[in-house]
Amino acid sequence: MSVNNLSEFGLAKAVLAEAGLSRLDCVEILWDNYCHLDPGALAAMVARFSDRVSMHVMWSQFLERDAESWKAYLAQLRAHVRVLRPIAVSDHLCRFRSEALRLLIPQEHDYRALDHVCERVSEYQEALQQPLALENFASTEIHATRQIEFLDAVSARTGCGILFDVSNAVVGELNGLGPVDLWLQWLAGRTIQLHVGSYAFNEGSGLYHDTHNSDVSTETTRRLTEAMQVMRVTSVCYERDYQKTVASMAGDLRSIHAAVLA
Amino acid sequence: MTLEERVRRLTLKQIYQRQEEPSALPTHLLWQAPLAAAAPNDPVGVLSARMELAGRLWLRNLDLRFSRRLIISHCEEPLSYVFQRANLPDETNLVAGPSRVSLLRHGPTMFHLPIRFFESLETYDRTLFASF
Repeated sequence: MSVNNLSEFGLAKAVLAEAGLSRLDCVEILWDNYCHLDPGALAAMVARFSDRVSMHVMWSQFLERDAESWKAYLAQLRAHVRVLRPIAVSDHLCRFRSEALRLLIPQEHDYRALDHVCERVSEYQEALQQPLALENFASTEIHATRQIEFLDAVSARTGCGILFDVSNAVVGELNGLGPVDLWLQWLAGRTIQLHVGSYAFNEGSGLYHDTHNSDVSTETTRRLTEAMQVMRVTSVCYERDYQKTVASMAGDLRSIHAAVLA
Repeated sequence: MTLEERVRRLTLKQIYQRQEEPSALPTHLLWQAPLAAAAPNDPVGVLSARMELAGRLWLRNLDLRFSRRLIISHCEEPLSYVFQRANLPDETNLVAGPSRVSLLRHGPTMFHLPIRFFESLETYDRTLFASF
Protein backbone atom coordinates (compact mmCIF):
# COMPACT_ATOMS: atom_id res chain seq x y z
CA MET A 1 0.00 0.00 0.00
CA SER A 2 1.28 3.49 -0.74
CA VAL A 3 0.96 6.53 1.49
CA ASN A 4 1.11 9.47 -0.84
CA ASN A 5 0.96 12.55 1.33
CA LEU A 6 0.91 13.79 4.89
CA SER A 7 -2.76 14.73 4.95
CA GLU A 8 -3.82 11.13 4.39
CA PHE A 9 -2.16 9.12 7.13
CA GLY A 10 -5.44 8.98 9.04
CA LEU A 11 -7.28 7.76 5.94
CA ALA A 12 -4.67 5.07 5.31
CA LYS A 13 -5.02 3.84 8.89
CA ALA A 14 -8.82 3.71 8.53
CA VAL A 15 -8.54 1.73 5.28
CA LEU A 16 -6.28 -0.83 6.89
CA ALA A 17 -8.67 -1.24 9.81
CA GLU A 18 -11.64 -1.66 7.44
CA ALA A 19 -9.70 -4.29 5.46
CA GLY A 20 -8.88 -6.14 8.68
CA LEU A 21 -5.17 -5.30 8.54
CA SER A 22 -3.15 -3.74 11.31
CA ARG A 23 0.35 -3.62 9.89
CA LEU A 24 1.71 -4.13 6.41
CA ASP A 25 4.61 -6.21 5.16
CA CYS A 26 5.85 -3.13 3.35
CA VAL A 27 4.69 0.44 2.80
CA GLU A 28 5.69 2.57 -0.17
CA ILE A 29 5.98 6.33 0.12
CA LEU A 30 5.78 8.71 -2.80
CA TRP A 31 8.97 10.54 -1.87
CA ASP A 32 7.96 13.64 -3.80
CA ASN A 33 5.60 14.49 -0.94
CA TYR A 34 8.13 13.91 1.83
CA CYS A 35 11.43 15.10 0.39
CA HIS A 36 11.32 18.31 2.46
CA LEU A 37 11.17 16.44 5.79
CA ASP A 38 13.89 15.46 8.16
CA PRO A 39 14.57 11.81 7.26
CA GLY A 40 14.56 10.69 10.91
CA ALA A 41 11.11 12.19 11.45
CA LEU A 42 9.90 10.62 8.22
CA ALA A 43 11.18 7.18 9.30
CA ALA A 44 9.20 7.50 12.55
CA MET A 45 6.04 8.40 10.62
CA VAL A 46 6.36 5.47 8.24
CA ALA A 47 6.98 3.06 11.13
CA ARG A 48 3.30 3.48 12.01
CA PHE A 49 2.49 1.24 9.06
CA SER A 50 5.34 -1.17 8.52
CA ASP A 51 8.89 -2.11 9.39
CA ARG A 52 9.82 -2.10 5.69
CA VAL A 53 9.60 0.86 3.37
CA SER A 54 10.15 1.39 -0.32
CA MET A 55 10.59 4.81 -1.90
CA HIS A 56 8.87 5.79 -5.12
CA VAL A 57 9.66 8.98 -7.05
CA MET A 58 7.46 10.49 -9.75
CA TRP A 59 8.71 13.99 -10.55
CA SER A 60 12.48 13.63 -10.21
CA GLN A 61 12.82 14.60 -13.88
CA PHE A 62 16.14 12.83 -13.62
CA LEU A 63 16.73 12.65 -17.35
CA GLU A 64 16.18 16.36 -17.82
CA ARG A 65 17.92 18.00 -14.86
CA ASP A 66 21.00 20.12 -15.40
CA ALA A 67 24.19 19.01 -13.68
CA GLU A 68 23.78 21.27 -10.64
CA SER A 69 20.19 20.34 -9.79
CA TRP A 70 20.90 16.66 -10.51
CA LYS A 71 23.69 16.74 -7.95
CA ALA A 72 21.46 18.48 -5.36
CA TYR A 73 18.66 16.00 -5.98
CA LEU A 74 20.92 13.00 -5.47
CA ALA A 75 22.38 14.48 -2.27
CA GLN A 76 18.94 14.96 -0.72
CA LEU A 77 17.71 11.55 -1.79
CA ARG A 78 20.88 9.89 -0.52
CA ALA A 79 20.43 11.53 2.89
CA HIS A 80 16.95 10.03 3.14
CA VAL A 81 18.01 6.62 1.86
CA ARG A 82 20.75 6.38 4.48
CA VAL A 83 18.20 6.83 7.28
CA LEU A 84 15.14 5.08 5.84
CA ARG A 85 17.09 2.13 4.41
CA PRO A 86 14.39 1.31 1.85
CA ILE A 87 14.08 -2.16 0.38
CA ALA A 88 13.77 -0.47 -3.02
CA VAL A 89 13.84 2.91 -4.74
CA SER A 90 11.94 3.36 -7.97
CA ASP A 91 11.46 6.04 -10.61
CA HIS A 92 10.09 6.52 -14.13
CA LEU A 93 11.34 7.15 -17.63
CA CYS A 94 9.24 10.13 -18.67
CA ARG A 95 9.37 13.48 -20.41
CA PHE A 96 8.37 16.47 -18.32
CA ARG A 97 9.06 19.22 -20.84
CA SER A 98 7.93 20.10 -24.31
CA GLU A 99 10.25 22.71 -25.81
CA ALA A 100 10.14 25.67 -23.36
CA LEU A 101 7.04 24.43 -21.51
CA ARG A 102 7.02 22.51 -18.25
CA LEU A 103 4.25 19.94 -18.70
CA LEU A 104 1.56 19.38 -16.13
CA ILE A 105 1.26 15.70 -17.05
CA PRO A 106 4.38 13.55 -17.65
CA GLN A 107 4.63 12.15 -21.17
CA GLU A 108 5.89 8.77 -22.27
CA HIS A 109 9.60 8.60 -23.01
CA ASP A 110 10.49 8.20 -26.67
CA TYR A 111 12.80 5.27 -25.85
CA ARG A 112 15.77 6.84 -27.56
CA ALA A 113 19.04 8.29 -26.21
CA LEU A 114 19.97 4.99 -24.57
CA ASP A 115 23.45 6.22 -23.61
CA HIS A 116 22.12 9.24 -21.72
CA VAL A 117 19.49 7.17 -19.90
CA CYS A 118 22.08 4.56 -18.88
CA GLU A 119 24.50 7.25 -17.70
CA ARG A 120 21.88 8.88 -15.47
CA VAL A 121 20.63 5.53 -14.13
CA SER A 122 24.21 4.55 -13.26
CA GLU A 123 24.77 7.85 -11.44
CA TYR A 124 21.46 7.36 -9.63
CA GLN A 125 22.50 3.90 -8.45
CA GLU A 126 25.96 5.06 -7.44
CA ALA A 127 24.39 7.72 -5.23
CA LEU A 128 21.87 5.30 -3.73
CA GLN A 129 24.41 2.50 -3.30
CA GLN A 130 21.64 0.13 -4.36
CA PRO A 131 19.81 -0.70 -7.58
CA LEU A 132 17.16 1.64 -8.94
CA ALA A 133 13.93 0.11 -10.26
CA LEU A 134 12.30 1.67 -13.33
CA GLU A 135 8.52 1.48 -13.66
CA ASN A 136 6.81 0.57 -16.92
CA PHE A 137 4.70 3.36 -18.41
CA ALA A 138 0.97 3.10 -19.12
CA SER A 139 1.50 3.40 -22.85
CA THR A 140 -0.44 5.78 -25.02
CA GLU A 141 1.88 6.41 -27.95
CA ILE A 142 3.09 4.32 -30.85
CA HIS A 143 6.74 4.36 -29.81
CA ALA A 144 5.60 2.37 -26.74
CA THR A 145 6.17 -0.72 -28.83
CA ARG A 146 9.90 -0.14 -28.09
CA GLN A 147 9.36 0.05 -24.31
CA ILE A 148 10.27 -3.52 -23.37
CA GLU A 149 13.28 -3.62 -25.70
CA PHE A 150 14.53 -0.29 -24.30
CA LEU A 151 14.04 -1.25 -20.64
CA ASP A 152 15.76 -4.54 -21.31
CA ALA A 153 18.77 -2.70 -22.73
CA VAL A 154 18.93 -0.25 -19.81
CA SER A 155 18.61 -3.10 -17.33
CA ALA A 156 21.32 -5.12 -19.06
CA ARG A 157 23.79 -2.21 -19.17
CA THR A 158 23.18 -0.74 -15.69
CA GLY A 159 21.91 -3.66 -13.62
CA CYS A 160 18.81 -1.64 -12.69
CA GLY A 161 15.62 -3.43 -11.72
CA ILE A 162 12.07 -3.14 -13.02
CA LEU A 163 9.02 -2.12 -11.06
CA PHE A 164 6.18 -3.80 -12.92
CA ASP A 165 2.91 -1.87 -12.73
CA VAL A 166 0.29 -4.46 -13.67
CA SER A 167 -2.48 -1.97 -14.41
CA ASN A 168 -0.11 0.12 -16.56
CA ALA A 169 0.55 -2.95 -18.68
CA VAL A 170 -3.20 -3.52 -18.99
CA VAL A 171 -3.57 0.11 -20.17
CA GLY A 172 -0.95 -0.49 -22.86
CA GLU A 173 -2.82 -3.56 -24.05
CA LEU A 174 -6.19 -1.76 -24.07
CA ASN A 175 -4.58 0.99 -26.18
CA GLY A 176 -3.32 -1.59 -28.66
CA LEU A 177 0.33 -0.97 -27.80
CA GLY A 178 1.47 -4.40 -26.72
CA PRO A 179 -0.09 -7.37 -24.95
CA VAL A 180 0.42 -7.96 -21.22
CA ASP A 181 1.68 -11.41 -22.14
CA LEU A 182 4.86 -9.85 -23.55
CA TRP A 183 5.59 -8.27 -20.17
CA LEU A 184 4.90 -11.54 -18.35
CA GLN A 185 7.23 -13.42 -20.69
CA TRP A 186 10.00 -10.85 -20.36
CA LEU A 187 9.80 -10.62 -16.57
CA ALA A 188 9.26 -14.33 -15.84
CA GLY A 189 11.67 -15.55 -13.19
CA ARG A 190 12.78 -12.05 -12.14
CA THR A 191 12.77 -10.81 -8.55
CA ILE A 192 10.45 -7.85 -8.76
CA GLN A 193 8.12 -5.37 -7.07
CA LEU A 194 4.59 -4.88 -8.37
CA HIS A 195 2.24 -1.92 -8.50
CA VAL A 196 -1.52 -2.21 -8.86
CA GLY A 197 -3.71 0.81 -9.59
CA SER A 198 -6.57 1.82 -11.82
CA TYR A 199 -7.22 3.44 -15.16
CA ALA A 200 -9.98 5.14 -17.12
CA PHE A 201 -10.98 5.80 -20.71
CA ASN A 202 -10.75 9.41 -21.84
CA GLU A 203 -13.15 10.32 -24.64
CA GLY A 204 -11.09 13.36 -25.62
CA SER A 205 -7.95 11.40 -26.37
CA GLY A 206 -9.73 8.16 -27.26
CA LEU A 207 -7.27 6.32 -25.03
CA TYR A 208 -7.08 4.63 -21.67
CA HIS A 209 -4.93 6.44 -19.10
CA ASP A 210 -3.36 5.55 -15.76
CA THR A 211 -5.60 7.49 -13.34
CA HIS A 212 -5.60 5.88 -9.87
CA ASN A 213 -9.13 7.20 -9.46
CA SER A 214 -11.35 4.11 -9.44
CA ASP A 215 -11.54 0.54 -8.21
CA VAL A 216 -8.95 -1.96 -9.42
CA SER A 217 -10.32 -3.73 -12.51
CA THR A 218 -10.97 -7.46 -12.74
CA GLU A 219 -8.53 -7.61 -15.68
CA THR A 220 -5.83 -6.12 -13.46
CA THR A 221 -6.43 -8.62 -10.65
CA ARG A 222 -6.45 -11.47 -13.20
CA ARG A 223 -3.10 -10.31 -14.58
CA LEU A 224 -1.80 -9.82 -11.04
CA THR A 225 -2.43 -13.48 -10.33
CA GLU A 226 -0.54 -14.44 -13.50
CA ALA A 227 2.37 -12.19 -12.55
CA MET A 228 2.52 -13.77 -9.09
CA GLN A 229 2.78 -17.19 -10.74
CA VAL A 230 5.71 -16.41 -13.03
CA MET A 231 7.75 -13.78 -11.13
CA ARG A 232 9.52 -13.75 -7.76
CA VAL A 233 7.47 -10.95 -6.25
CA THR A 234 8.90 -9.11 -3.24
CA SER A 235 5.99 -6.71 -2.69
CA VAL A 236 2.67 -5.65 -4.17
CA CYS A 237 1.82 -1.98 -3.75
CA TYR A 238 -1.72 -0.64 -4.12
CA GLU A 239 -1.92 2.90 -5.48
CA ARG A 240 -4.96 5.16 -5.18
CA ASP A 241 -4.78 8.93 -5.55
CA TYR A 242 -8.32 10.15 -6.23
CA GLN A 243 -11.95 9.33 -5.34
CA LYS A 244 -10.69 7.85 -2.12
CA THR A 245 -13.16 6.32 0.29
CA VAL A 246 -12.46 3.89 3.07
CA ALA A 247 -14.97 1.37 1.69
CA SER A 248 -13.67 1.36 -1.91
CA MET A 249 -10.02 1.25 -0.91
CA ALA A 250 -10.60 -1.53 1.61
CA GLY A 251 -12.50 -3.42 -1.11
CA ASP A 252 -9.54 -3.02 -3.45
CA LEU A 253 -7.14 -4.30 -0.79
CA ARG A 254 -9.30 -7.39 -0.30
CA SER A 255 -9.52 -8.14 -4.03
CA ILE A 256 -5.75 -7.65 -4.43
CA HIS A 257 -5.13 -9.95 -1.48
CA ALA A 258 -7.36 -12.60 -3.04
CA ALA A 259 -5.59 -12.27 -6.41
CA VAL A 260 -2.19 -12.64 -4.77
CA LEU A 261 -3.27 -15.83 -2.98
CA ALA A 262 -5.15 -17.34 -5.95
CA MET B 1 -4.18 16.54 -32.42
CA THR B 2 -1.53 14.39 -30.74
CA LEU B 3 -1.63 13.55 -27.05
CA GLU B 4 1.36 15.81 -26.43
CA GLU B 5 -0.40 18.70 -28.15
CA ARG B 6 -3.41 18.12 -25.90
CA VAL B 7 -1.20 18.16 -22.82
CA ARG B 8 0.56 21.32 -24.02
CA ARG B 9 -2.81 23.02 -24.49
CA LEU B 10 -4.01 21.91 -21.04
CA THR B 11 -0.73 23.00 -19.46
CA LEU B 12 -0.86 26.41 -21.12
CA LYS B 13 -4.40 26.97 -19.93
CA GLN B 14 -4.03 25.66 -16.39
CA ILE B 15 -0.62 26.83 -15.23
CA TYR B 16 0.65 29.36 -17.76
CA GLN B 17 -2.84 30.89 -17.95
CA ARG B 18 -2.44 31.57 -21.67
CA GLN B 19 -4.20 30.33 -24.78
CA GLU B 20 -0.97 30.45 -26.81
CA GLU B 21 2.63 29.86 -25.82
CA PRO B 22 4.44 33.15 -25.09
CA SER B 23 7.06 33.92 -27.70
CA ALA B 24 10.01 33.86 -25.30
CA LEU B 25 9.63 32.05 -22.00
CA PRO B 26 12.48 32.52 -19.52
CA THR B 27 14.06 29.46 -17.92
CA HIS B 28 11.76 28.51 -15.06
CA LEU B 29 10.63 25.77 -12.74
CA LEU B 30 7.14 24.34 -13.07
CA TRP B 31 5.81 26.23 -10.03
CA GLN B 32 7.02 29.47 -11.60
CA ALA B 33 5.06 28.91 -14.82
CA PRO B 34 2.19 31.33 -13.98
CA LEU B 35 4.73 34.11 -13.42
CA ALA B 36 7.03 33.17 -16.29
CA ALA B 37 4.06 33.71 -18.61
CA ALA B 38 2.87 36.95 -16.98
CA ALA B 39 3.05 40.15 -18.98
CA PRO B 40 4.95 43.13 -17.50
CA ASN B 41 1.89 45.32 -17.85
CA ASP B 42 -0.55 42.88 -16.22
CA PRO B 43 -2.69 44.68 -13.58
CA VAL B 44 -1.84 44.03 -9.93
CA GLY B 45 -4.99 41.94 -9.54
CA VAL B 46 -3.88 39.62 -12.36
CA LEU B 47 -0.38 39.36 -10.93
CA SER B 48 -1.84 38.59 -7.52
CA ALA B 49 -3.81 35.68 -8.95
CA ARG B 50 -0.68 34.42 -10.71
CA MET B 51 1.33 34.71 -7.48
CA GLU B 52 -1.25 32.60 -5.67
CA LEU B 53 -1.36 29.96 -8.41
CA ALA B 54 2.44 29.78 -8.40
CA GLY B 55 2.44 29.23 -4.64
CA ARG B 56 -0.18 26.52 -4.86
CA LEU B 57 1.90 24.78 -7.55
CA TRP B 58 4.93 25.07 -5.26
CA LEU B 59 2.91 23.27 -2.56
CA ARG B 60 2.20 20.41 -5.01
CA ASN B 61 5.97 20.24 -5.35
CA LEU B 62 6.25 18.87 -8.86
CA ASP B 63 9.77 20.36 -8.92
CA LEU B 64 10.82 18.38 -5.81
CA ARG B 65 11.92 21.47 -3.92
CA PHE B 66 13.31 20.68 -0.46
CA SER B 67 12.31 24.01 1.08
CA ARG B 68 9.39 24.19 3.52
CA ARG B 69 8.22 27.77 3.22
CA LEU B 70 7.77 30.11 0.27
CA ILE B 71 7.09 33.84 0.36
CA ILE B 72 6.06 35.70 -2.80
CA SER B 73 5.84 39.45 -2.54
CA HIS B 74 5.15 42.37 -4.86
CA CYS B 75 7.96 44.96 -4.95
CA GLU B 76 5.86 48.05 -5.52
CA GLU B 77 2.55 47.22 -3.86
CA PRO B 78 1.73 45.96 -0.35
CA LEU B 79 0.91 42.44 -1.53
CA SER B 80 2.32 39.13 -0.27
CA TYR B 81 1.57 35.44 0.01
CA VAL B 82 3.07 32.82 2.32
CA PHE B 83 2.93 29.08 1.64
CA GLN B 84 4.09 26.39 4.02
CA ARG B 85 4.25 22.63 3.59
CA ALA B 86 2.76 20.12 6.02
CA ASN B 87 5.36 18.63 8.35
CA LEU B 88 3.42 16.07 10.36
CA PRO B 89 0.92 13.32 9.48
CA ASP B 90 -2.60 14.60 8.92
CA GLU B 91 -1.46 18.22 8.72
CA THR B 92 -2.49 20.24 5.69
CA ASN B 93 -0.41 22.70 3.72
CA LEU B 94 -0.92 26.34 4.73
CA VAL B 95 -1.64 29.37 2.55
CA ALA B 96 -1.79 32.96 3.78
CA GLY B 97 -2.70 35.82 1.50
CA PRO B 98 -3.24 37.99 -0.26
CA SER B 99 -1.96 40.12 2.61
CA ARG B 100 -1.57 43.89 2.31
CA VAL B 101 2.03 43.84 3.51
CA SER B 102 5.43 43.87 1.84
CA LEU B 103 7.33 40.90 3.24
CA LEU B 104 10.36 41.00 0.93
CA ARG B 105 12.14 44.31 0.52
CA HIS B 106 15.42 43.01 -0.86
CA GLY B 107 16.64 40.42 -3.31
CA PRO B 108 16.42 39.78 -7.02
CA THR B 109 13.16 40.09 -8.87
CA MET B 110 11.52 37.25 -10.80
CA PHE B 111 11.95 37.39 -14.54
CA HIS B 112 10.78 40.74 -15.84
CA LEU B 113 8.23 41.30 -13.05
CA PRO B 114 8.09 43.49 -9.91
CA ILE B 115 7.91 40.32 -7.81
CA ARG B 116 10.34 38.68 -5.40
CA PHE B 117 10.29 35.24 -3.81
CA PHE B 118 12.14 33.57 -0.97
CA GLU B 119 12.29 29.86 -0.14
CA SER B 120 13.35 28.69 3.29
CA LEU B 121 13.89 25.49 5.24
CA GLU B 122 12.47 27.26 8.29
CA THR B 123 8.76 27.22 9.09
CA TYR B 124 6.45 29.60 10.89
CA ASP B 125 4.44 28.41 13.84
CA ARG B 126 1.15 27.30 12.30
CA THR B 127 -0.89 29.54 14.60
CA LEU B 128 0.92 32.56 13.12
CA PHE B 129 -0.80 32.05 9.79
CA ALA B 130 -4.06 33.45 11.13
CA SER B 131 -2.35 36.78 11.71
CA PHE B 132 -1.13 37.32 8.15
